Amino acid sequence: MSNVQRADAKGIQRAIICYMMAGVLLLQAIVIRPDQIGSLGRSSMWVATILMAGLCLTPFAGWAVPRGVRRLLNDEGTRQHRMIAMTAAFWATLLSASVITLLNAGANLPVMQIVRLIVTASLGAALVTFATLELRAGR
Amino acid sequence: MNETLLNTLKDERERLGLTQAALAERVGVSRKTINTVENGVFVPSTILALKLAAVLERPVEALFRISGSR
Repeated sequence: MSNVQRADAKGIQRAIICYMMAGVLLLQAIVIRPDQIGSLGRSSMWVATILMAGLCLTPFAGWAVPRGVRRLLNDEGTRQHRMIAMTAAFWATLLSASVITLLNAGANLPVMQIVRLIVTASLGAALVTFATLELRAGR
Repeated sequence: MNETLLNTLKDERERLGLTQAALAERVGVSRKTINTVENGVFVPSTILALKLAAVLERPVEALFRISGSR
């Protein structure tokens, strides 16, 4: 199996992991109630998920694969997909922050809950955009 | 002004009997990148365009051209 074929397979795996991480983030946003946010266990779990999801979007995610394959996994096509994913994250952050500001006018949501929702929307958008672009490019 | 980059990459690749994966291997990028360049989704860097031209034994301007509409 050549490096290009290995990189193709790893790229698909990475895209699937990105979709899964986006799903986990969404699930956590739904399952964890606002009153549970203060608990150390729940907060640590959320921070760990955020860090893992963030790691999926960086070139460091493939540290375990051989250097030749890693180079192909992070070539200029993938770098452009990452850039587009970051743009999507930026807009998702602005949009979610605006929506929360409007809806939160009389509700007074806890700050941590607001941060969690914005980070979830932002990272989720980046993960889904990156994974979709990567899978579409492979077709 | 709306400009798009057109290319003859697929024709030139097939002329040499290369698959996308084989061309990707020679140029040093992933097959996905070759695919997106061929489909006009991704505009390659100058370095990649020059590498493609060298591997396909064609000048860059024979591989890529700009189609502009005002």
